[in-house]
Amino acid sequence: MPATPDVTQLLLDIPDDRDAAYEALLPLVYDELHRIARIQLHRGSAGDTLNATALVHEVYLRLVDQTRAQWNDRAHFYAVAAKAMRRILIDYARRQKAQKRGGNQPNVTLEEGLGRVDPWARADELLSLDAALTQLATLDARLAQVIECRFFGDMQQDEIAEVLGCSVRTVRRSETKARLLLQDLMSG
Amino acid sequence: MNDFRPHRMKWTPERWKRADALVEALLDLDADARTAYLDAHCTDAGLRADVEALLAQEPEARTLFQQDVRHFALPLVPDAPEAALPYEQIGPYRLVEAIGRGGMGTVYRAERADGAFEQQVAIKIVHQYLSADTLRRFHAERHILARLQHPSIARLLDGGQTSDDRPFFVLEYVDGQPITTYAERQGLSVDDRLNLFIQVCEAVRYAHQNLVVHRDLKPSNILVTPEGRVKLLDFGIAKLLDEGEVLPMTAPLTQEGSRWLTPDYASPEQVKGEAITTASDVYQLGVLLYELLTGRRPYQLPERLRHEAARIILETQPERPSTAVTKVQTGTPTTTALDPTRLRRRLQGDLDVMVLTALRKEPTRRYASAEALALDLQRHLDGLPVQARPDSLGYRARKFVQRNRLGVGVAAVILLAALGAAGAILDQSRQVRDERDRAEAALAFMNELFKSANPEHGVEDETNRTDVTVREALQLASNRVQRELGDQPMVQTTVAGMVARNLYGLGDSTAADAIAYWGDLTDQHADPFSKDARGALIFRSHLLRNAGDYAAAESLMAMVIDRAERSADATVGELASAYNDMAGIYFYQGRPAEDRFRYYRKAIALYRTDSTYAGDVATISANMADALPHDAPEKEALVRETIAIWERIRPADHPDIALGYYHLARVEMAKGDTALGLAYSARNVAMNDAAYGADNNTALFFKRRHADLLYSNGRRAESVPIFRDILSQQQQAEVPDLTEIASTMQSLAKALPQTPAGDAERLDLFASASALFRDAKGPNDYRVAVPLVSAANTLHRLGRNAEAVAATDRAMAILPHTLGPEHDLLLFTRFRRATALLGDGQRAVGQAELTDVCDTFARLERTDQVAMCEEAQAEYAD
Repeated sequence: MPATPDVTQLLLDIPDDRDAAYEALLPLVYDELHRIARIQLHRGSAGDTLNATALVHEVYLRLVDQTRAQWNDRAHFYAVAAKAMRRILIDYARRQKAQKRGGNQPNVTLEEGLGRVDPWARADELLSLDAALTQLATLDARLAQVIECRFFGDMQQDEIAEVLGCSVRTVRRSETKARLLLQDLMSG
Repeated sequence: MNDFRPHRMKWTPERWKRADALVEALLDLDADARTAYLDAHCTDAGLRADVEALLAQEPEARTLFQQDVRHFALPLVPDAPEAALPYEQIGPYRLVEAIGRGGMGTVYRAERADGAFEQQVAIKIVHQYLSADTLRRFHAERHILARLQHPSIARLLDGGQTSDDRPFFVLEYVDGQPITTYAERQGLSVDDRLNLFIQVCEAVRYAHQNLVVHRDLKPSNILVTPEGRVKLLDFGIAKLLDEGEVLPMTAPLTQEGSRWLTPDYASPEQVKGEAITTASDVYQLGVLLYELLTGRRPYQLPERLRHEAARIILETQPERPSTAVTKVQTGTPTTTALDPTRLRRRLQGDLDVMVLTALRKEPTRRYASAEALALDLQRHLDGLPVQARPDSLGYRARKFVQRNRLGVGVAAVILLAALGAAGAILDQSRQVRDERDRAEAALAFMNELFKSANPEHGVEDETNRTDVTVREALQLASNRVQRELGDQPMVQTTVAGMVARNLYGLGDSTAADAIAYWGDLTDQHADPFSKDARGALIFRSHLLRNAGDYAAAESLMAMVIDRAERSADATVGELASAYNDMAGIYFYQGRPAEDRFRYYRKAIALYRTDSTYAGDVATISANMADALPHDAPEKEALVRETIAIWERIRPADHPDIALGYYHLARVEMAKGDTALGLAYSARNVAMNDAAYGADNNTALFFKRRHADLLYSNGRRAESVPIFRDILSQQQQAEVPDLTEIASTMQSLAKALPQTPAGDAERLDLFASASALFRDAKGPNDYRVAVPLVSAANTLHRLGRNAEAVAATDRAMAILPHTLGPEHDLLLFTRFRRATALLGDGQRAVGQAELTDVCDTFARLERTDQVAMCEEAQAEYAD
């Protein structure tokens, strides 16, 4: 695995050209997140269950030079990771649907040991949410990003405020409005 | 859910921008104000209609994207193939296999590739990259660590950077078990455990002498070899990595947004992100000793609520080890070797004090060093007096006051009045013979003061500020009383009782300690039949009941009743309330209604002799009504009496009256008058909303009951969005009530439609509910099992019988801890397990279980269940 110290540099560059830096970061984060997710998602033991937060944090630790990164760099990193997580899950969801059409439908056991979940139903649900979220972004990019960070990145409201450069209250309001619009778009 | 397809472009960016301005304002308004606002500000009828439609979706909208992303990720992301080794060789070592994985790195077993030695090593490869500067410091520190040579410390043999610049450590390979596992598997006695622990202290002492702090002591870092030799791993590595300031353990928890992964062993200063010193290692040794001796950790930290975990670590006192062991359920790994009763006696006194000394919040008040702790333990083993002294309530009171700075104005005046009055009376009390009466007078004064701060006593609009100040006054005054009346133990006892009662009434986290202190004083100084001794027993019983130890609570309350019945000074109020308490304990134990009614009737008969107890008569009527089935003839009269009394003596809209209407609703429903029942229930909801505010936990609790009624009266579809709304409000609460969240999840799960999506969500909800109950109530509470049984019902219906059997097996591992073998829930669980076994084709064992359960139902004459049995037996006959 190659060292990627440039992740830190990309984060430091964010204030200058945010979109370009995000675009450059995304594939790096995507690969690492994807790799770790596959290894760890199903390996949680009782005391050390890996959730989205821990997953992203681990990727962050691996990719970013802590001595140079600042707190708001970390928030930005999480925002990128949220985007990467979204892409990863959407990729899987699409694959899942393709497999369903091909008649090959694996069952996955939940960690609770309680039951089996139909991954296809989840895939469908996720793709619907994703499509609505994309639609929302054309109406109001900030609303979409709040939901993306919140849901796919498991970020706290104050972290999102840091990324968007707004108040926590605005994040909270945006979240409410985003949900209303999404509900509208999905039922419309 | 179908693919998303927008069927018309209702929203464009421009149009949304206009709508957004309206929505922004409307979100803060209620329905009427919204109409008025739109009348005034929106002339575009089409836009207005769309905005109104948008806002109408608030309940459903709140549920969008509320699940954990893992809910989707787990079923979608396939399991990875076995992780390949990232490097074949590092330096002269060849990696063999991964043997551990933690927050900071992965550990591999490795051996020398050049065959120079037959040597196995452990190599830890760190997950992070370090800057050149950090690396230089890292190398310097590494050399210090390499000099640590102690038989109980796994040696750091080598270190460096991988080809891609990740730091790695080569450590002595230790073949051992975590110390807690070892102690359990070997069935070690308390003395053996202490001797093992002293070995740990000795290693820590050696490292401290060499200026190395561990900072991450926990069982997985403290192994015991098959020869019984302790080996500490990872010494100083936490510190090395902390140079980069990324270690989750040391990221300040209180800093917003920081990630904190292993809270159980974190010291208060680590939680706060303060300086880490050798005292932090002493604290972690205290946690380890606690776990070694009791099988529990000092704090039961919620998994998901890290601010709550921080608060618990920073603000609450751990239970004494001797108390903790009485709560460990049999089967907990670390304690099966030791008998709880004997263990409790063994821990009481010295060991309690020593463990709690190591665990003190303030670093300077712990043992000064690991060596001091080890020496004190050795003194204890040798039968010598120990150095540690119990933490005094007075000390904690001072700290409490320091934490909660005094307010100004009225609050300060109240404080001074309390101190002045108590002090003046106490001064006199030293000079007169009947000091007891004087102290009582001071207490009466202060009791009045505290009643006014405790909302349950009727004054509703005290500010928080006053409330806190009253606590301060209470604790300061008690402090003074203790200091000045140390030679008058009876007065001290009375004061301790007053402090304890009031702290308990205020729900203060130090109440348990205060009650224990009071209990100790009464044990030492009071006649067991005295009012003081009885009072202390009552509150000890309450604590046990609140902690779920109903058997112990019952036996203490039985003592209270016995002594009060034989004491001339027992009042109507005391005895009746003891009867009522006993009935309450029976309720929690799930005993039959007749048992409870025996005590309720005794209590109500006593209360009726004095009209000042009208409110208590009402409470017990309500409790009795609660215990009766809704169609019991006696019930409606009890409920109506309750409401009549409360409407007479309580302010309008008081929550108690609301509760009466709730019961009345249930009675009317049972009589078949659904419309009237739902109307009463709606009235209850409205009154609670008015009394508490709509997002209050109690208000939400009754909203859920209302939705339950809708559901059980055929209005399932209506109930679902209400349940979702309640759930989302409960989850957003400042301090989420896990039990209520779990209960709402159960209600919602039951109300979902029987469709594939509904069933999938239902099973998820049951699983989450069970996990939340486990967090809130401990692993063996019957509530953990209820959602498992519900899930088993669903799985059985879906024909997924093997999973249904597994779910009932898990439930049956829990239920016998708290329920008797003939409890309906336990029997039903066995019934479900039997049918699932039969459905799964396990005929012989299923048939035997079914017959056994059904015979029990028949013997107990449970008509409904017998009918259910007959149906099942018919289905699985042949």
